[in-house]
Amino acid sequence: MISIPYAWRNNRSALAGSFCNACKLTWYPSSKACPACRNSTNPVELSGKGTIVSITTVHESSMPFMLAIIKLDEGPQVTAQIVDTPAAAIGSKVVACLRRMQSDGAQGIIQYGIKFRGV
Amino acid sequence: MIGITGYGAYIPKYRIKAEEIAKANNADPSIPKSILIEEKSVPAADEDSLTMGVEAARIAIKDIDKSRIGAIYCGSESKVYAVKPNATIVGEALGIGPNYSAADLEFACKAGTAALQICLGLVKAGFIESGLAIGSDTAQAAPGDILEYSAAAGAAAFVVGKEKVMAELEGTCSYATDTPDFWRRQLQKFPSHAEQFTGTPAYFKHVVACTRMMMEKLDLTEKDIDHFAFHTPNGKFPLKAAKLLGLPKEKIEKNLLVSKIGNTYSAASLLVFTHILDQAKPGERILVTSFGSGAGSDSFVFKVTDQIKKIKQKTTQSYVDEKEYVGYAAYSKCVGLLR
Amino acid sequence: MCGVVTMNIPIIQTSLIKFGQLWDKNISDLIYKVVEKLDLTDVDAAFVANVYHHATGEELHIDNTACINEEGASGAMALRQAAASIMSGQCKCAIVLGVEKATDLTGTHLNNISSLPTEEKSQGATVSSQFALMAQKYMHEYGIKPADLASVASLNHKNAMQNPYAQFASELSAEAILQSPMVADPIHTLECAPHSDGAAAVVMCHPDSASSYKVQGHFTASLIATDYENTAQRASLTSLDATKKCAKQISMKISKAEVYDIYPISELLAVEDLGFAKKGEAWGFIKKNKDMINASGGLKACGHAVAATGVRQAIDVLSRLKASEHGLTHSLAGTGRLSVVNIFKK
Repeated sequence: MISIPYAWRNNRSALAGSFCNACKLTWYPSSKACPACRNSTNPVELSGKGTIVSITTVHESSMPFMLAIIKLDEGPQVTAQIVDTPAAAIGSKVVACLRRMQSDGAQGIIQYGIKFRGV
Repeated sequence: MIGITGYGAYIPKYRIKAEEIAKANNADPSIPKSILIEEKSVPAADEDSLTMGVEAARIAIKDIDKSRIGAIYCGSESKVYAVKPNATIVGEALGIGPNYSAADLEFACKAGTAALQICLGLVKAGFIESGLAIGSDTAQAAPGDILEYSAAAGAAAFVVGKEKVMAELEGTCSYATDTPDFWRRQLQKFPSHAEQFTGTPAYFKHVVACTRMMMEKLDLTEKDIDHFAFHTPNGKFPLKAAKLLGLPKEKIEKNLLVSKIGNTYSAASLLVFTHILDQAKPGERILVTSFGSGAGSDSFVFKVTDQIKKIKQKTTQSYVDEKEYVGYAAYSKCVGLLR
Repeated sequence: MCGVVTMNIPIIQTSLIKFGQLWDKNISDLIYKVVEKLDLTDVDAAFVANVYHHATGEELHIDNTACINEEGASGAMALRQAAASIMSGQCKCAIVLGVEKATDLTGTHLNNISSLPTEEKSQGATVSSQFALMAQKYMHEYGIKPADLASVASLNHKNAMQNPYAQFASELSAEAILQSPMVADPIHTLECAPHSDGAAAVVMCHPDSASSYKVQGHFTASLIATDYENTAQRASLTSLDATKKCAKQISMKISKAEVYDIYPISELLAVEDLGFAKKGEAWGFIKKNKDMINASGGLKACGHAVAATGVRQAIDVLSRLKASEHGLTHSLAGTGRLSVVNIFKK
């Protein structure tokens, strides 16, 4: 069961990050307070570009998929699926794309999110 | 001057060969050959009309001031929800809003051009500064139906405005009748069609009448128009329409993508348009005529300006060329035949 | 930081049920069985560690009962809290009981309720996938191969052959591991610690009452540290800061260590993060110091009855120490958001 207010509040379809003026760190996804020092942050739009730090193929699923930790050009790291790029490896350049993440059965809402593909 | 100020295309990476579909259905592979379909695009299981529309729109708006986009209209016959618009999900994903007019449109394969026409109207009326129009579909077809060879996936997006126009709108007109050539009832998974009836009384009647009307309205002959973009339900129909209109075959044929990507429905005529824009030179004239079953056509004439030379983006052809083949089993999973 | 207080808490009773797929036992059955041979007369506090079933410990009828859930670190945390409670004067004699019925839940359900942040779960990440990402980075940086990782698990099986309480006291070759289905590259099914049922209990008392009991050993220090729950947000993929921060506080020579080998990579990282081996050299160290790391067989061969593991590790490390030797147990929550290191002395 997906909580509607939670899903709405945590919509991950935009490339929205946060910048902390105190730490000078950029965070993704966005956070009203800096996860490191809790000072307030400013919204920042990210380019969606990054580099693969580590990558695996997950088999615990109806269909194997590639999962990676990606370092975005602006600094933050994110765990995300890699799509359409069978040759992706550590060091590969990737770019964000919008994909359908999950839906709450046939009747519930659909959640969209950011995955990455090779450039 | 109003017209196109940004555009983008998206075609998913995967392809299935028509002969692979024929094999899976124990059908004669000469059937897709006869309608000039070699292969079609297949969306990944996590793609849909919304995700593809966003990808195309991201390119279209890359040099646009998002805060001045006052409308988002999405045309699709594979909306992700029956009730809840693609348009606002697009807005959220692109960081547009909240001051915009929005809705999803349905008119079979001409829903995308209807969106374009509405945005042009809103800009021309002065109600908005800039509008985003998207045509996007993950077309469905019943396994074994002839439509299965061509039902494909793709998206095209256009920004309409008054500043830095790269293709100026010279005119637009439309032609509509109640013609039951192709339809899908509520809650039905696959569309139905009237086979041979989809030709002369449907596609050809509307495309020919609308194109003729457009050219007469602007007092143009085929010599005045450098490129034609017609709706592409298959590889044969646009060529026959050209013949009926007395147009030189190559002005239509050179820009066809359908034999390699299939019929992308609401994106079909618009992807021919983006493909033309990728190559067009300043001063060239483009005529676009869509066709939507049910039935109707929208026509537009655009004149390319110098602004086109500043465009540097991923081309429609590169989307056509970047491909990976899948077999029928994988295709079935992707398009949800096995759900 | 960890705020280490040197303790000297006497361990006066221990009890262990062999972990396994105990289909015929409920939580209550496991609790009754693990305390069957214990004398609870003087026990005035209970710390019950359980992750998946909200076990209450009511079977013990002890008013001063606290329940603890810190996933894989539950048992270790319960030991830590019990010791603190004794030292604060809140109780005189505490039982720490870890119990789990992991086999009641399917693998899919276990993945769904793990403490991975929603950011990672929504991408299909699991505890296995995140450790697999650490393993891939580690292999990339230090040249370790999947066969080496498999050999870590294989060695733990060999160790377990001396352990009557091990769920799998049997040989398991690296080849067999590598041929088993892949979970998340490079982690194969047979190198994952199994989710098991079981219970373990330890009774400890205030140092002033030690003379009334037969003392098996002492709980001398408990170290704790945290890190981001989101693997991607951490400073490194090839070491766990939470473990490293605990290790900074270890001042004594450690002769034996029971470390958290949920997967071979977590054992390698633990050996390095605890300061036993340099970066990239954990496997060499383990081979060279055969009786030191996971002599019991670790989570892999003893089984992993999640909340009971930290207590089992304590019992296992204490039983293998020689007089005056120090041993440690190392536990993790999630993929490294929390590390608890408990130190015992014979």
